[in-house]
Formats: sequence, structure tokens, C-alpha cells
Amino acid sequence: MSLKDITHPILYSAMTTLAYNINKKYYGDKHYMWCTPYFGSDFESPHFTVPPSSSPVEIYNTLKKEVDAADHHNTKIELNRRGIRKGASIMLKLGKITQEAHDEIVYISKKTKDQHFRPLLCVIARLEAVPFYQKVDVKDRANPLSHEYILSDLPQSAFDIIRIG
Amino acid sequence: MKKLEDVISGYEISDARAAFYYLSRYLKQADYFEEYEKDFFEDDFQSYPSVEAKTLTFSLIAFIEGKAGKKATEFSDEEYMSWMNAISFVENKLDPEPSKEVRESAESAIEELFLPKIGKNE
Repeated sequence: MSLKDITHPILYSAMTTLAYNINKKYYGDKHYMWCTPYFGSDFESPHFTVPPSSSPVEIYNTLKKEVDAADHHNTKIELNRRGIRKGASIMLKLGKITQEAHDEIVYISKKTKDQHFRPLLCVIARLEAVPFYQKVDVKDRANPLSHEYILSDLPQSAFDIIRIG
Repeated sequence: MKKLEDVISGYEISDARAAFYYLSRYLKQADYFEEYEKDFFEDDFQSYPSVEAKTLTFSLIAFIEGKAGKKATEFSDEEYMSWMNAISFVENKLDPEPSKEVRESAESAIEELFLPKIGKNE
């Protein structure tokens, strides 16, 4: 279902402090994020249509555990490092950043400490997000009922940041 | 014996990087494919993977599942983490050594990293 057709007023997304900083410094304060109208983790509910791995609060808590070193397997942080590098590669291809900026982001993604992956929770008004959502063709979506949305180039003015726990 | 490095040999860095990213997603979401029918390539219109990156992703999946002798859905937590570590190790070495200028500028950017304030940060 398209973002403009759902009735939930608020969307949630988990982001890392490093991703936030890179978006701000290198991408003109425009943010790329996956979001969903579900904050919690009521996976048993038939209305909860995203997997646990896509729940903002689950992602937030996993990152927080890894940053706080309560979890010795930092797979989520490593995945984020790779995601940041993949994002830089796309931005370079699109001509939105220079080769030097790309190389800097790659270097930063490798050298920053785990503490820089402290999670942030983004709270987004759905109506403000609609213009930044590119609907994926339904035939490309295996589950057209899944309520997960990708926002591109979302300005900071469209969301609040909170921290929990 | 064939290694992950051999599978990506000959591909551009950007395609290898993208393939490792989608491979990681495939492994991470393996438990949920049946229930949620997610497409692990799903991305926004600007970030959608190239044909080469998609082909390489499938080659990497076939390599890993062939080595393990089972589908990713059957991986234990230890096997999952072991493959994620192997992917990180190889992906981390894709790039050539950065110039001195790039290193210095990046170090300075790391010094400036900040924890955003609560709210809009305008």
C-alpha cells in the first residue's frame, strides 16, 4: 500500500549517529531512511506487517546493545559500515559527491569507533514524508501489503530525533 | 579452494560492494522470507542494484550455500555470524589505499562527529 494511502499519522526509523553526520556533512543534510508506521514489536499481531529485523525499536535496541558492548557480535554495526560505503558508492555514481568525498566517507566508515553507531530514533510526520517516497512498482514487491517505506533526500526539517532507553 | 575473493574477481568495486550488501541482507532476512516474502534487493529508485551486482549477489549466495551445504534459512547463529565476518573481511579490503589528503580530511571529519540534540536540530 502506498505511503499516501495508509492512515497512520507517524512513521518511525532508526538511524546511526554516524549515518546522520555523513548525511549532514556530505549529502546536504538530506537523509535516506527505511521507515514504518510501527514503533513497537508486537510480532504476534496480524496487523504488524514488518519482520522483526525491520522494526525500528528492534534495530535501535540491537545497535544500542552492540555500542554498549553488551553484545560482542557487532554484526549490526558492521552491516551499517557496509551500508554507509554502499551509499557513498551510489552517491558517487549519481554525481552527487566527488571521488575525494567518496574516499573520505569510505575511510570514515572504516575508522570510526563503534560508539559512533549510537542509534537515533527518527519520528516523521507521514504527510511530510510523502513527497520523499518513491513507490516501488507492485510487481517488484514480493509482499505488497508490507508497510515499509524508503525515503530519499528527506530534509532534517521533516523529522524529529529522539533517544530512548 | 575457492574463496569469496575469487567470486568477486573481475567485478567493479561498486558492484562487488553492492553485492556484498545485498548478500548480507539475504543472510539477515533468511528467517523471514517465507512469512514476509521480502525482496532483499528492494531499494529506492536511485539505489537499485545494477544487473552485474544482482548477478554477483546470486553467485555469492550460491557459493556460500554450496560451501555450507545448506540454505541460509538453516544457518545457526554461529554460521550466520561467521559468514557475516567473512563478508566484512573481504568487503573492507575492496578499496585502494586513500591519499594522504583524503586521510587527513577524513580524520578531521571524525573529530567533528557529534551526537545530535533531541528535536529538529535546525
